[in-house]
Amino acid sequence: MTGPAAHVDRHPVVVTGAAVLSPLAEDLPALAAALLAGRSAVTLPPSPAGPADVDEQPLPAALLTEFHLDRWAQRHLPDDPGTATRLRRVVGRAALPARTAGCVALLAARDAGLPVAPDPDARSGRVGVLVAGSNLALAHQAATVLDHRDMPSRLRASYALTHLDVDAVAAVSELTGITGEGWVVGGASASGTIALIQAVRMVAADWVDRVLVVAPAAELSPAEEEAFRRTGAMAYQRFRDTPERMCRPFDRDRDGFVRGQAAAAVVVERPDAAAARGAVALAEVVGYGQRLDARRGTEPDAHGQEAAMRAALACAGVAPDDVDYVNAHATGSVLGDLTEATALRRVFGDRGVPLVNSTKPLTGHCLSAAGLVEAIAVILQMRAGACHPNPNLDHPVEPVLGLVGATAVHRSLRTALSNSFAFGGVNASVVLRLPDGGPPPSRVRQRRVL
Amino acid sequence: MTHDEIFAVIRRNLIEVVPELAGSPITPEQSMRDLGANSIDRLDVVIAAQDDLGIKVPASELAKADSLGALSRIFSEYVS
Repeated sequence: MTGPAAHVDRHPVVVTGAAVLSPLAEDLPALAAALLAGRSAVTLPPSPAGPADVDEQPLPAALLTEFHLDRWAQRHLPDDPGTATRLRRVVGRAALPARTAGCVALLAARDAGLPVAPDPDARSGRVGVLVAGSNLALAHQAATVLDHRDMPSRLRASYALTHLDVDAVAAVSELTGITGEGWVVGGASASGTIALIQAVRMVAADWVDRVLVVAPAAELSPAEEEAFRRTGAMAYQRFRDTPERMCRPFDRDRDGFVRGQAAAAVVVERPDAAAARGAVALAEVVGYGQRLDARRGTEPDAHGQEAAMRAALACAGVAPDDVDYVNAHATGSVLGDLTEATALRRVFGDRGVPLVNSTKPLTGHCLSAAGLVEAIAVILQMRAGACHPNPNLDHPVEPVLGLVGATAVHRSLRTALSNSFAFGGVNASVVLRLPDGGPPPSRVRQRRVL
Repeated sequence: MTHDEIFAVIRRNLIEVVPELAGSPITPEQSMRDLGANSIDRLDVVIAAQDDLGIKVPASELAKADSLGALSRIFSEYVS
């Protein structure tokens, strides 16, 4: 089913920089600490006064409601007022996705040690940009449409730009000075993983030397949010007194996903290109697989999930027994988690290894950004030598899986698989590995990760 | 409404679109282009200022404005 393996390791690709913007954390050390502590950013907005059906109560979420561009720049660019000014000029009036994309793009480029505009090196045409996710600015679109109905004369000409997903590509390109190829990669909740896969392919095929992959924070308007709730996919009924416990992947008492919001970015490049500029590899992307279920709809399919995982392992030349850790898609969805548990059993058996966790109870389900947020979470855990808890796993639905419990498990993690599945029968898996040469140098570990 | 009042409306909308101009001198002799507003920025300023002033100026008239002062003079012809 998987066909001949096209080993990525003929053209290995390394991750040399990363950045996140999440209600859980705004830098990598803080994110690593929050993950290993099992801290959740999920909260529940106050309920409106008066009796109301639970179907009309607010939904739990981990959103970037506190994000403010100028204050973010004060925290993260205090010594670089020129870049802070450019950030405000380029994305100050853009929609949330492009604003957050600009922030994480700058930090990931800086983390990777890449020059940014106006440095002419950035304009070589040998660096690309991929933006993960489509229909990113849904709240901005809905608000503009409603305003336009009420006050048509007020419509800004700039909405011609701000409604486009590609506005994030343009913003990142202007901010970083990247002039190679760039486009938007859409795959609903699998977008982040699929964008990472496409970036690895671009680099492995030598189209470019490196790619900045950016997953902007995705918005929903009240209509999409309510539609998701009506599909039965969202948690909102149980555990309302403890919102941080409402997202419960692989737990008996789960009742759906909890929405999260985060932006993430990574730099991937050829090892020789990284070495030539003295950049340190945080991790390698050694394999990937994507499969479709040939079925439109919201129902997951264990066959497609299994096929994507097997394709990723074959591509990496890695046997299931060699995988130390799986970052599951596991949203807390009633059917979705059971389906993924079945697919994981088929691929990895029932020996209790590899370790399995889901980052979504901590970050919420960041939709199109989830795959990239979780790839970064995987890298941080591998470099820390520890798997973060599944803090809400009280009664595992599939006890034979190596599900992490309420506390972190410290263990050497050299090879990890990360899953992202999406409505529409889209399944994507990626295999990440710590670079050869033993544990990461402590210098790097202190400076970059922990 | 005086020229100064119309100019103040334009100036306020310009600063909203190009926030880094806050605190800098903005004079009628300058053009929005000189002040760092790109073509979309300039359209946003002109649209928002017309909305604030309750006027609708034909695009052919707006095209004649080569400075902020010229723009406020054109606007003044439409303000009742």
